[in-house]
Amino acid sequence: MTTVITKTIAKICLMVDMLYSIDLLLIGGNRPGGGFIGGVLAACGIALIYVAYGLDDVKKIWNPDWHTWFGYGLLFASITAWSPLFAGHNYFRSAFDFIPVVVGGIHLGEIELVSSMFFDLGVYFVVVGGLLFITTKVGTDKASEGGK
Amino acid sequence: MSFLMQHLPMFLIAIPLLMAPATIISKSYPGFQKALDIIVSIGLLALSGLLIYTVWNDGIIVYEVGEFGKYGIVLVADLLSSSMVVLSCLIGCMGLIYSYNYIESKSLNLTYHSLYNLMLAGINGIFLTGDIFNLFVFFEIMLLSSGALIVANETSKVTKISDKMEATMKYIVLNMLGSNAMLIAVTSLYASVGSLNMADIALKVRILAEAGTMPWHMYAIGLLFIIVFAGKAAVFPLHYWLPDVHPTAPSPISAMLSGVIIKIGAYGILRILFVIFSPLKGVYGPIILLLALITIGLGATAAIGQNDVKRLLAYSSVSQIGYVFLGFGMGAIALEAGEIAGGTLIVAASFVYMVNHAIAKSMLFLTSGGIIHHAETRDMRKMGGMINSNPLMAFSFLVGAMSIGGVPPMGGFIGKFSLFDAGLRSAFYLPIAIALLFAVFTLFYMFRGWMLMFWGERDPQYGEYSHHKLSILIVGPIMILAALVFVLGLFGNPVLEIAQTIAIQITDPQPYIDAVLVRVIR
Repeated sequence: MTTVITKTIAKICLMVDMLYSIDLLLIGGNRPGGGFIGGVLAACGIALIYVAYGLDDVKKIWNPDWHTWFGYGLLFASITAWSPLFAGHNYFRSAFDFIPVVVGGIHLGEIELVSSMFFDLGVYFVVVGGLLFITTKVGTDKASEGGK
Repeated sequence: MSFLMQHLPMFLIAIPLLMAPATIISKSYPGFQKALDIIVSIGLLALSGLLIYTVWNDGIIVYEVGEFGKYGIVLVADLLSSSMVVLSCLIGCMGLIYSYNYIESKSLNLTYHSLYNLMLAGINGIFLTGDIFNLFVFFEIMLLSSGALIVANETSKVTKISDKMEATMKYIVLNMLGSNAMLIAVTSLYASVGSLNMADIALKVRILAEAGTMPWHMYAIGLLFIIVFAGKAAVFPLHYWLPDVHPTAPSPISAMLSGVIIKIGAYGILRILFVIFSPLKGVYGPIILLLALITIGLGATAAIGQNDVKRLLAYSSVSQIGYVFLGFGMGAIALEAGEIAGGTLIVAASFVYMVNHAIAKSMLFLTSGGIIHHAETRDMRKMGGMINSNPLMAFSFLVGAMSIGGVPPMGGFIGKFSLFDAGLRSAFYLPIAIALLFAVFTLFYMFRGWMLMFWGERDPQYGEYSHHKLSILIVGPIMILAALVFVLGLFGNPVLEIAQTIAIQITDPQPYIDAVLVRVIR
């Protein structure tokens, strides 16, 4: 699979893919999207790089521990869900606020800040970490068996 | 204290969910990780005890997750769900202690702790949620984490990794098909009644039934739910995955699978049959009764021919879950016929049966792990004479076998006796006769296994037993559960009393509906 065409297209795809996944992450909550879908898309993009360049070659340059990504993502999401308890509310209660953006006296619009955004961010890392952990583990086992 | 009481049902789901990442992050410090997990699981057991105590004294607890008001997800802790949570926390805690010396340390550090906690969160979530789509979500959490736990490496190399892969494949694929069916059922139900809250659905289905305008597809939706839960509980046409999956899993996971996870199916049937589709229970009762009788016969007959100790226990699980479903079927028929007292008694008896089976069977699976450690094989024909070299395991297997077979003074006797007694009072002579016949089979296969393993002499060609002594972490949980089997048999009254109240609560869903809906619609 490691032809020049595949490699080039994989690189271009990764960039578009990551941008779109971050967009999906940010618009989630009001429109279709969110942490899960964004995470799946990001994981697909990175998996494409693994396929195009080969698992071993990519690992030489960049080898994060996806399992830990999963752990920190889940911890982040879980802590977000716990945090309303300290404000006297129930588990998973979300808060939101609108911040008007005013530049030089001109009202440009409003930015919506939602606390469930942090939960979505945690889910994003859970999905990226979980999917790529499984992909790399399965890929490594197959490669080592074939090598012997 | 009021903070604790206010959020009590949520803690039982949220704490394991928080522990899962905490154990991943602390993977470089195995000692800390182990200590943390064990303290938390004992804490969870205490919290579940507090939950059932509160529910017993103050009635149903409703907890709104996220405070969304009318459309939000609620956690409902009635007596049935809180007692199931106690069961899952108890067996989960024992299984975790047992795992420390049973599972290979690398596997234990990396994924086992986090997956185990996720599984506990999923199981507790299934029992506590009051929202049917949320039930599906927790089903998936439980399914994926338990599927991954089946392949966890053990310290003994008796089970081949390829067998484990095959078993996980079967488990995941078949349960995914089940989840698919459940998703179809949930969405159809939502399309029909426009609600996902179980109490709300129950109310609307009852109004439809009273008005005589029940659409035909409601019958099909109920059947689909019964198929899903029967598949989880391994009832007759969908039982075939269990004897492959439960034996290949590591023993603490087998104990969780046979002790708690197949009871999820029974719990689901109770909710579907008596709460949500309460007006249709006369339609589903005979179907469940028939399938349960076939399951009892099939499991017991198949268990007689098994030579693998864990396969024997797995087939026994199939047979025993049939008895639980037999109670549900008989209870539904009796209640439909207007025998409120008789039907309630039968449902209570099958709940007692379920609790006793859960504890005895998980103890037996943990014991089988000890036996495998000692004999380094799963084939009972290659064992023999172990009563001399390993009397402790001989004792605990005997206790479990007596409980499963229904011999007094063990807990299983109380379960079997009350089930048969309640069935006879409502004049179910033929089903009870068949069940009684296969109860004799049960005695036969359990004691055949015990005699093969512990009496006689081991054939010298299979070598000597290992002199490796079983550690306290392996023996301790087995002994605690064995003591519980005794206690449930000798002092069965509290469980019978709780079961009676559960049966009254579940067969008349009005208090449940009131508790949820009056709180939800603000």
